[in-house]
Amino acid sequence: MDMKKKEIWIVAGIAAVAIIAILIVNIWKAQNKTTVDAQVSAGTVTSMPTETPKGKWVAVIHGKEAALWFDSGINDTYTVTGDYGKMTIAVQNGKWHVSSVDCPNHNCEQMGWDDGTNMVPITCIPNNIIICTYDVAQNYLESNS
Amino acid sequence: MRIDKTRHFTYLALLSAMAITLNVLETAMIPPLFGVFRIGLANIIALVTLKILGVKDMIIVNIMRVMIGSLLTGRIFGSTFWISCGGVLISTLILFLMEKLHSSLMFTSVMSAIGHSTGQVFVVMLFYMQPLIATILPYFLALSIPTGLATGFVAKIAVERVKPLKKVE
Repeated sequence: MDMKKKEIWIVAGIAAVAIIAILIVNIWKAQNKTTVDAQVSAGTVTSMPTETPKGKWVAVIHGKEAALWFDSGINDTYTVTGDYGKMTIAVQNGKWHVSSVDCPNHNCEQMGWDDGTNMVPITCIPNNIIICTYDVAQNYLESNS
Repeated sequence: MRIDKTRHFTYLALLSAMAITLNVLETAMIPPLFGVFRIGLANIIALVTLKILGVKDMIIVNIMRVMIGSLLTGRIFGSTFWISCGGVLISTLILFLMEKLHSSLMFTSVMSAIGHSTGQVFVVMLFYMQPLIATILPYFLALSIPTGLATGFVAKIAVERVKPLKKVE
C-alpha cells in the first residue's frame, strides 16, 4: 500500500507544477498591480480612496463595483446590502469580520477575522460580495472594468 | 450468503454514518486553513470503503455524506452544497480510476484530494462566474498533497485492521 516510485514522481511533478503556478500567479498579480497603480494615477480607474488611512483601505465589492470603502484603523460597524440581503461588517483593532449576514450559508461569518494577510479575502457568494484590501480591490475592479 | 449480505449492509451503514459525522464535525469544529481550505477528513472513510467494500459502495457513502451532511448542517441546495457536489464528483471519479489502475492507497488519497479541490474551484468558476478564483487552484494543489498524504496514512492504518468484504482481484 506504500507509494510506488512512479507515483512518488507524479506527486513530486504535481507539487512542482503547483509551485511554478503560484510563482506565475504572484508575478501576474505584481505586474497587474503596477498597471493599475499607473491607471489610478492617471485617473482611469475611479472610486478608489485617495486619502491616507490610519490602518488600511478595505473595499466591500458588490458585483463589479466597490459598494463601500472603510479604514481598518477606525473601529466601527458597517452594513451593506448584497444580492441576498444585508451584511454587517465589524472593524476592530485593524481587523475586520462579518458579524452578521442574511444568507443561507454564513460561510463569510465562519471565515473569521481578516487583517489583509489572509490568503483569500472574505467572500459571500449568495450576496456577491468580496471584502478585500486596496491592492486586491484595485486588481479586481480593473479586471472587471 | 445471507450473513455476508447483512454484514455488508452493516459495514455500509457504519461507514456512511462515520463519513457523515466526520463531515459535520469538520464543518462545525475545525476552521478551514487560510479561510477556505478544509482537510477533508471524510475522505478517509471514502478510501476505507473503497478498499473494504468496493467502488459501488464508496459512491453510495460519498453521496450519503454530501446529502445527509448538508441536510444536518442546513446547507442543502445552497451554494456550499453545489460546491461540495463538484468536489465529491471529481474525487469519486478519480477514486474509481485509481482503483482500476491498482494505485497505492496513499497515491489514491493524494489524487482524490487534488480532484476534490479542483472540482470545487471549477464549480465556483463556471456556475458562479468567478473566473479569478482559478488563481487559488495552485495553492489548493500544493495544500492537497500534504492533506491527501495525511488522510491516506490514516486510511491505510484503518484498512490494515479491517478484513475486506469485497472480492480481491
